[in-house]
Formats: sequence, structure tokens, C-alpha cells
Amino acid sequence: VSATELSRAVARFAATLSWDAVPAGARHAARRTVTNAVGLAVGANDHEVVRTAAAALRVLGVGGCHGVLGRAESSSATGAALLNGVAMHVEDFDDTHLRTVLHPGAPIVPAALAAAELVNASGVRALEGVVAGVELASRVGNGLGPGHFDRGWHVTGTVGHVGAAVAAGRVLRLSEERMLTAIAIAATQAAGHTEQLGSMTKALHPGKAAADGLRAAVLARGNLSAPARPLEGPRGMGALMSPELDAEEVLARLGDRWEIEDNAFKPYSCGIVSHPVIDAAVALRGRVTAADIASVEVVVRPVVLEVMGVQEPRNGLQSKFSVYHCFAVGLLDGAAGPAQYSDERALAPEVVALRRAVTATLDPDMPKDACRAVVVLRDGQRLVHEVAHATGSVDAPMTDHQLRAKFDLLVDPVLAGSTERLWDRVWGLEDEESLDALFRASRKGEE
Amino acid sequence: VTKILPTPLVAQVVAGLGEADSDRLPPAPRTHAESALACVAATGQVPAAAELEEDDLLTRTARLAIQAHERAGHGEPGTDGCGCVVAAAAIGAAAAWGAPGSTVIGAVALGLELERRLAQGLGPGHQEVGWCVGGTAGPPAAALTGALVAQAAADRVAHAIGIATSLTLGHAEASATGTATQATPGRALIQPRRRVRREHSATRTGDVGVLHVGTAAANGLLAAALAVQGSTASATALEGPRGYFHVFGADAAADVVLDGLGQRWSIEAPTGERSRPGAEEPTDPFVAELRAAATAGRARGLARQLLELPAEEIK
Repeated sequence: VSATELSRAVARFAATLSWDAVPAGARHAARRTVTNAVGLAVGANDHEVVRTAAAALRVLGVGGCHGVLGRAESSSATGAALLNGVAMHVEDFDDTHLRTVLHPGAPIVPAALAAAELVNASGVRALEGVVAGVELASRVGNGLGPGHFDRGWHVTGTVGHVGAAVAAGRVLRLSEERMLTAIAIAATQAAGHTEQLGSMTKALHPGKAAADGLRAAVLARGNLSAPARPLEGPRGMGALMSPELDAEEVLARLGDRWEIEDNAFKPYSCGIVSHPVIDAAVALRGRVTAADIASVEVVVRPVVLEVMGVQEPRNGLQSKFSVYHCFAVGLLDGAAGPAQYSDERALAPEVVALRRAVTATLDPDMPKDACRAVVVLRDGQRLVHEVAHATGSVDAPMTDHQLRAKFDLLVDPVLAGSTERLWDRVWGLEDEESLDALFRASRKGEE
Repeated sequence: VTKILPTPLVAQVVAGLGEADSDRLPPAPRTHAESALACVAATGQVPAAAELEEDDLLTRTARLAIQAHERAGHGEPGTDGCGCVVAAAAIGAAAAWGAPGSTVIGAVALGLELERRLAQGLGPGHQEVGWCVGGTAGPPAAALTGALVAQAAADRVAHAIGIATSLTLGHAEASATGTATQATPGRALIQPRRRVRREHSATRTGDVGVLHVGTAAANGLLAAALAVQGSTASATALEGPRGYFHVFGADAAADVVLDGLGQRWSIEAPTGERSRPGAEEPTDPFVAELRAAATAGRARGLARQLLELPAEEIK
């Protein structure tokens, strides 16, 4: 495939991908992606950011009969996609395509689910959409390269638009030509910058991507004349939003090597770059107590401070962007879930005291999933802990068992006794004839 | 190099632009605002969205902007030549919240001013490389207008702008018509019931590019609603080191945006086909009624009528 036919090649793959032809490893990754995302959406269904977005949509007359996971109310198809996308991302607990730092679940899964609901498609078709969307969004992210993120774009918002359109488009059975149109409509709306980290708008990015991608796929069913090269054209996404689009990176071993298999799941609900530091803190927990610590030095990649450099977080949201807070709760609580990033925990005296003892040293050669922590105790003793591969990284992926435990942690507070029922519906999505039962099982007190 | 400002730019913009009240504005920005409103008011019907069966204010606002832009048919393809992004968002916001006519017109004037200033800040190279400025400068401006129509507090208005910096769009590539050869152009989708009369033979914009202005208006309205409900954006969403100006490669834009803000108006004379510099009374009946609408309820009724919504509340 020549570089001038990139968009068409992407559209062709998207329009012809069949679940039967997807290898077991990629299918398993899709199942994990959907399950993780649904658990997150149910867990965060009543989060302030979700409630705010739902209220805004209501004011604008947005309504309909489409399922919002975990919530009693329904919305329009795009409204539901938006709310589900916000909920899946708002705890910073979602999945990550590590090479691009794309969080594919939040923009892509809601688009596939809403599209399937729209045409009463089966679970297999929804999964097919998810595979197509995650695979191609990850690959477009690969093609845009690190320069895309370095410019300030939030990959989940930008590339998420393309993935959501592909996912919805595949569920809607768009032809290659119409898939190209869907990609074009979505690509031109790719948006979201990382200055928003720490604000409520960050979680809006994947929600908007999901809604826009779904709408793009639906609009593409009409007779729109499509630009032929939305990704690679001289005034297209690649040219405008990255230093250089590498088409070969997008298409390398397409259909043979599966990027979706590199989608990693977070054990901690904060930015993934600080996960090695939390692993180190959790590991050190058995060897020291906070009261004995004089100082802590964490040696990390420079990107850690670029996105996680908040020294004095004033609330839970900001604490997610503080590597210092991350270390402190890791050591004090042995965990870093939603409870560790609450407003109360961000201001708890013992957390504040410990995080102020932490300094970060930058090492450009430190691998992405690694770090070193050096703890100096009050008696002068020095402890060193090195993390080679953080939990949830490609080399140390979360197991299905760990994923189930995370699902329970998120869903139990909402569904109490019926978490298992939702797990069965979503983990067994392949066998569902429609998504009705899944959406019903996501809501409290429904049969 | 990013400039660190003592007060966040969004807050300075909201304070610097001043009150949204057409009675206290100079004639040029006021007439320009009325011209933009007349442009969207003249579009007539707002057909239902058949494909998604979604018929909410976002959809209707988008359609209003698209039809106004199509009808006016001037300006570069993909730009907000007639002010329809901001004006359509104002109509959508008026239908949602209502505000006295003078507030709606004033909010449009301030939105158009911000849109121009953002566009100037983004620089001429911004469009040359292929961004449609109606899609990039439009949403934050439309968000300002929407939040002002909602009569939100200053900090909420600032958040509306900040949220909309993440809802930008507009690749010129999308305006290319490509290889599709359908006999029925995609505009049939946008105007399924009636083809709007085109008074100018503007450069043919591709069907996907046609969506830009509508999406920009809807995105601005959404940002306003989110901010009104309590959503937040980064305080440095515009000028921060990873923010709006930076992603578009225009780090020095803050000075341009602030230069003479509130004192000097970018619009010296109104532009567009309906421009009548110095006119005392608008000839457009919708604008005349809006100007006379002393209550929020009356303006809200006018906006809802224009959007073909029933007079009662949206349920």
C-alpha cells in the first residue's frame, strides 16, 4: 500500500474485519478491553463529572432511549456515548496502549455499544467494532508518533475520534467507501489538549470522541462525498497535528500483528507514567513505615514530571497528577484506587507529610515502565527498590484474575449483590444476541 | 516560548470584553452582531435530523449554523465568514436559558470579537497550513457567547471558553470533495426537506467540510452548558504550555488577544451581505423583534420559534 492511500487502506481493513478471522489473543484483548471499560463506567456512573455532563445534556434537550451504563436515566445515542466515555475515563483507571499513551477503551467501547444498540446488533458485532477501533486507533497513534503528544495533543481525544468512528462504522456495517467518509468526519474533529489534565474537561475528551465518532459513522450512511485522504492528505490530520505522519507505522503487519494485544490495564487510578513509582512504594511498605522516613528520591523518566509534577495537590483530581502523592498513598495505603485520590486523601496530614519528603530525579534513560526509589531513614539507613516492569505493563500484564478483582472493586459499591451478573454479561458478550441484558444488568435493582 | 501570565488569559478575556449589553456597545460591533443574527435568522426551516433521530438543541444549532453559512456563501471555505458559528450558538443558548434581547445581541458581539482576536492570535499561517479557523476559533467564541446568554458568573464564562478549547476541529482536507461521485450531494442530508437558495457562488466546499461550522457552534453551546452546570477547564487552557495556542503552534498569541481588548473593536464596519453600516434600525424582522425583547422569556420564545421548537419547555 502506498503512503498516499493510507486512509483507504485503514477504511478497507475496518470495513472487512471479521470476528471469526481475529486470532484468539486479540479476541481475548477485546474482551478484556470491554470488561474493564464497562466496570469503570458503572463504578463512576454517579461521579460529579458524569452528573455535570448529564445535567448539561438535559438542559440542551438531549434525550432518548439509549443506555447509560449504571445510570437509571437513558439518553440519545450520542448522549449515551458521551456519558459512558466520560465515566470510563474520569477515574484515570482505564486502559493504555503504552506506545502511544492512548486510552482506547473510553472513546471506542461506548461508540461500539451505542452503535450496536442503535441497530440491535449482537455482542459479537460490538466486539468486532471494538477490535477494529482499538486496532486502528492505536496504529494511527503509532503513525502520528510521539511528536503528536509532545505538541500537547491528548491522544485519547484525538486518535480516539478515529477509533470511535471505525468501531461504530464496523458495527453499522459500513462499506469501505462509507467507512472512509466516517473516518474523514471524525478525523477533522480530532481534539483535546493536555493542558486540561487535572480539570474536569480531560474526561470529556474521550466522551466527545465517542459521541462524535458514532455520529460520524451514522452520517456516513448518507450520501456524503468524502475527502479521500483525511489522514495523510497535505491538509489532513497527520499534516496538521503531528510533525510527521509515518504511514508505514500505521500499516506495519496489519492483520498479522495485533496492537490491541498491547492494550494494558491499570492497577492504579492515575496517570500510567507514575505506576512504577507506586509499585515501588507498595513494595517498600513491608520494609519501612512512614514515620521512619527522612527523605525519598524517585528516579524517573522526564515525562513523569511533565504530566505528574503537581507538588501540592489541593484536591483529589489534582492528586492524580502528583507523583509525590502517588508514592505517599502507595506506601501508606498499599493501594492507589479511587479511594486514594479523594479530596480527603489529597489533604490528609500523613499523606501531605510523606509526599513533601519525596523528590524526583530525572533520568532520560530510565525505561517507560521502570523506576528506582531511594529511601533514607531517620537513622541514616538507605533502602533502594528498583522496579523493572510496572504492574500492568506489556511485560507484566494484569491477569484475568486481577482484572476480575478490579471489576469487583469498581462495581460492588454500585450493584452490591449483582456484580457477578454484570460480569457474566460483559465477559460473555460474544454470546449475547443483543446488548439489552448487559445494559439492564449494569443498573441497580433491574432484572 | 510560552508566556506565563499573572492572571489566566480566559479570566482576562472575560473581564476585558465587559458586559454583554448591546445598548452599551459602539455601533460597529453591535451592528455586526445584528448582521450575524440576521444571517442565521434568514435560513428558515431547521429540518429534523433523520439519521440519528436526534432533535436536541445541539443538533438544531448545528443545522442553523450550517444553513446560514451555506446561504451566506461568502468567506473562505470552512471559515465563519458571516458570524454564523457565534450567532447560532447564541440562538441555541437563548432557547435553553433565555435572556433579554440586548444581552443576546451583546453576547454575540463579544463572541464575534473573541473569535476575531483568537483568529488573529492564531495568525495567518494557521489557515495557510490548513486549519479552518471557524472550527478552531469558533468553539471558544461560541462558548463565551452561550455562557453570556445563560447569564453565567464570570468564572463560569471563563470555564466555558476553557472547555471549548478542547472541542476544536477543522482540517481543510475535509473540505476536499474527494473521489465520491454520488449524483445526490451530501447537502441533501443536511437539508432533506428543502434546498436553501444560494445567493453567492462560493467555492464548493466538500460535504464533510460543510459540517465544520455547525459542529463548531454546537461544541461551543455544549461547552457553555457544561460550564453552567459546574464543569471546569484548566485555568491556562488558552495560553498554557500544553494548551490551545501551543497545539496550534501560536505560543505568542496572548498579546494579540489582549491588545486593546474592550477599547478597540476588531470590527470597524460590519461585513457580509446584509451589512448596512450605520443603520439605526435593523431591517431583519427577527433582529428587530429580538432587539425589542425586554424579557428573557420573550427572547427565549423567539429563539425557540426560529429553531422550530414548541414554545413549552423541552422535556
